[in-house]
Amino acid sequence: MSNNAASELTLQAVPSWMPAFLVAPMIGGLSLADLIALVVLLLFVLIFVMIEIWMERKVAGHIQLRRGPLHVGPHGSLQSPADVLKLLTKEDLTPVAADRIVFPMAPYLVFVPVFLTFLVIPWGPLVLFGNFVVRPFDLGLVYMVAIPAMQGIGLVMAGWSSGNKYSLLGSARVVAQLISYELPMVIALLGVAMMAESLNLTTIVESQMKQGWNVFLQPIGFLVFFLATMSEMSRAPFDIAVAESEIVGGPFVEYSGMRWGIFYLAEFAAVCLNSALSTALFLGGWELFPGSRALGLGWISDQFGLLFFMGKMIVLVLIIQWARFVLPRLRIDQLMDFAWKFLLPAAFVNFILTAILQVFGFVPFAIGIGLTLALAAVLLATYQARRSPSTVALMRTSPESVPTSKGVGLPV
Amino acid sequence: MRGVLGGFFQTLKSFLTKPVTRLYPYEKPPLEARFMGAPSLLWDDAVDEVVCVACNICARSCPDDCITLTGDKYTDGKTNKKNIIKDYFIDLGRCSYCGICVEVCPFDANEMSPHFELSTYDRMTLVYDKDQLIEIGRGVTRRTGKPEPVGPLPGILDPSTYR
Amino acid sequence: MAIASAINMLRETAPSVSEERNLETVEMTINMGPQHPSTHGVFRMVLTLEGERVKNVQSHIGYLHRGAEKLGESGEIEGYRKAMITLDRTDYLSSLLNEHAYVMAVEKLAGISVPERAEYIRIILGELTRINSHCMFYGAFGADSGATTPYMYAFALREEIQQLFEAVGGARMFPNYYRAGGLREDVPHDFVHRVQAIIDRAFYAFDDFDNLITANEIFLSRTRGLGILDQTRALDLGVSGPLLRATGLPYDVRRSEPYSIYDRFAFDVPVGTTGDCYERYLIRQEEMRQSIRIIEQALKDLPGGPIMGNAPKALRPPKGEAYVRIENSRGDFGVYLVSDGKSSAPYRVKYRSPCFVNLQSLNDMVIGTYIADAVVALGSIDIVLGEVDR
Repeated sequence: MSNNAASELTLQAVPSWMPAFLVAPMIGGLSLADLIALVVLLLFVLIFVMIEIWMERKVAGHIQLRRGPLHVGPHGSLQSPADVLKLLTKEDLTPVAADRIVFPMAPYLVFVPVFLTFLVIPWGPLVLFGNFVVRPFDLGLVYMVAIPAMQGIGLVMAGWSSGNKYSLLGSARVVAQLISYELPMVIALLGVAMMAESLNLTTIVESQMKQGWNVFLQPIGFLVFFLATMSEMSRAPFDIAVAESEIVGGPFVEYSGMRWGIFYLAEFAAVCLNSALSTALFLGGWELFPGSRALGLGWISDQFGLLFFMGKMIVLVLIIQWARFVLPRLRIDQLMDFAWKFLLPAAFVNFILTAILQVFGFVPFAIGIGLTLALAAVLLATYQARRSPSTVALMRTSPESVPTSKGVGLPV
Repeated sequence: MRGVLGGFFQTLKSFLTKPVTRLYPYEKPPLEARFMGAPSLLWDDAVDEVVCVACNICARSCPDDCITLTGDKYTDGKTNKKNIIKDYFIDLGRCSYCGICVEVCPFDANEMSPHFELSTYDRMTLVYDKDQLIEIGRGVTRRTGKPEPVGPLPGILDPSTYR
Repeated sequence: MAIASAINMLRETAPSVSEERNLETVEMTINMGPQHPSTHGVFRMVLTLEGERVKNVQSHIGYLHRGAEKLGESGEIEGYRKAMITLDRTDYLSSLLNEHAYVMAVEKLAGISVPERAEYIRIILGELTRINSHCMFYGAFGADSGATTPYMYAFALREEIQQLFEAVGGARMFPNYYRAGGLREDVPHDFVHRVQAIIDRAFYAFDDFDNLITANEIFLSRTRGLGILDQTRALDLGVSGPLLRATGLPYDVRRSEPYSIYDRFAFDVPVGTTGDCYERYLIRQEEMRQSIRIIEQALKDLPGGPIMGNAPKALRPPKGEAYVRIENSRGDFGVYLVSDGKSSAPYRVKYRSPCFVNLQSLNDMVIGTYIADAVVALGSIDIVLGEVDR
């Protein structure tokens, strides 16, 4: 299955009703339609981030027996725009020790890579508009790995240029974390590329419609990808880079006003981005449910696919937000251990299993899955056995068994 | 894994329970009968004047030295007190709401009022004078040192509301 | 051949082990506190770091020094009452327990007897304060290790307890309710019902606490084996309370030197084995349940009768001194009073604060760990800066 086969299925990226002057390439090969698409995409990201922030605060509130935002708009739904207004009016401080050039530049270098990666996401079709995707690159998968990795540079710039030791520690953590988690993520993606025999994200989605969703074919890959991206965007429990109880916000310590707001925007845009990528790569993109095409229900996905894509994305966003309010933070060495000792081997296992599926067919794949599960169970059991049980012995209530302070010579 | 999943289930459970938050500025908190807000001066309705006789015990007993008062010779003759207060200041910014001034008052002239919303932009406005102290004490009756009225059991917390 | 020569060439160009560049990092000193979200107030640690590792830690205290002891010695009249106001505000989380110690010291000094009912009520309120304080520990410890939800869970229960304190003493945190010889006034008539309701609810709440993080693997890996303090070292430092019990010594003043009427109640003293942060956490969790046991027994036996003993109206104890210690929620809290026999204020007030002493163990726990561990270890000591600085 190559690009040729896939192109039959591909919905037109450019709807036929679009006038010619819109799609005619202008300077640098960009057409007017491209520019409009970029603006629409930017607006979408901004609005979705606002919804996301409101959602997170509501989720947090209700998990913690609170109510969350309540007063600005119905159920506090206009809280995020209000916060943006507040951030815009706040004074933009630059510390004396900060680097004058790098410090103001850093927020944009964090946000721009995240935004650029949105270009390759196949959002799916909606009735009249055709298939939403700004740039269906053939090398989309490589692009989506390479571009967001650049935001590490922005974070290091932010941390270094702030002239604050907490920021520096935070940016050092960011580098370590990004490098470690890039690897299992890429290897997990190899399985996806192998299944679709393509690096084009649209093709990958369409191949999932034929073969079944990747989340069922390579669950390990999904898990590795999801956890690795969660770590890449510094979400709890992997948020050591910003860890407010240790290094009080990491690279962002010295930022205020809208510059800080852009960091915040980038963080939440990354959550949106990674949920969208997980949806496209593993959850069948805009398909309603696995195998719907075989049941003759493919037209629903073809007409309203965008909505299903968004739905899946929002569910993933909610899961990411949920985890933040349940789990304590990992320590840096544990974080590294998790990447190198668990995620990386798991990604390789997924790679091998997918290769078996692709080359030898389903039966050896099933055997492989069984072996993997058995191995995992054994490893888990040995791990559990190595751990000592929790020990708090209770003293019984006979007063004689308890030493008096005179007996042991306790200090007064 | 079990511990992590347990946390997820627990949070799901609390997500579905009713929030415990009280919407404070909109819903006034239920204050207990003994709630100690700002100290207030009591007004004697029978003779239409303050009960206080300016004996200065409260000012001397105050651990924060936040009470300042001056007395005047009492001339009205409606009661048999010898002095009456001229000025009475309490710096509520220093007051620690301990209730000692009420406890030591031999004339039952003051009581802790339920007044507690003191936010202000200027700390000097927290120095309450005699009129303000009488104002926040309106409707307050002397409770300290008096036997408690026994009625039906109010305010029993229902543990089922939490789950 | 080609391969062999290529390998040889690589060998020659690669730096040998002896030539390896010096990769030592420069030490960095960072100033954690007094304005830092997880130094529990205004504690200041100066950490010397090598990368993420803590090489040395220097503590600075005194940012919250308010002279509570000296203020307790002032006052021309009612000095013994005034001292309690400042005492309440030293350890603001176990105020009623500390009030208990103080009034016991005054009673010892002046030879005042306390009626039964007052003793029982003091026990009930004291144990509720202990639960209140341990709830705060639970929340803060969760926040230190990176989980935000425990705080809110803990505060939901604290709210109920503080509402009861408001009903009983008129204030939620500093009720100033105990008096030498008894209590300021009797408890409200629905007291027993309300305490019972809190106990019923607390059991649910403790289960929720446990479900949330006690068995969480990340929490375990963060706290287990961290900040180990062995028994001899703990005794050398004079550490008390849950920190000492975690090392395996079942030393609890309520049991070792029963004061008030603690000898009448059955309760267990939880002890640990290794003395790490996780055991300190578990011990506090268990102590909350044991407090409930004590409260249940006390509620069952709560007698009627007067709440005030033979205390004189104007307190002027004879010349002498008294030292009383209790087990407050952080350890061995002591009050030392000296009376000169003339004035109505104590001549000397001294508090033995467990936090201050327990804080000495910080260096033993923190050096050699990571920055993140330093925060957790500090949280496991459960300091209240008001009491450290006094």
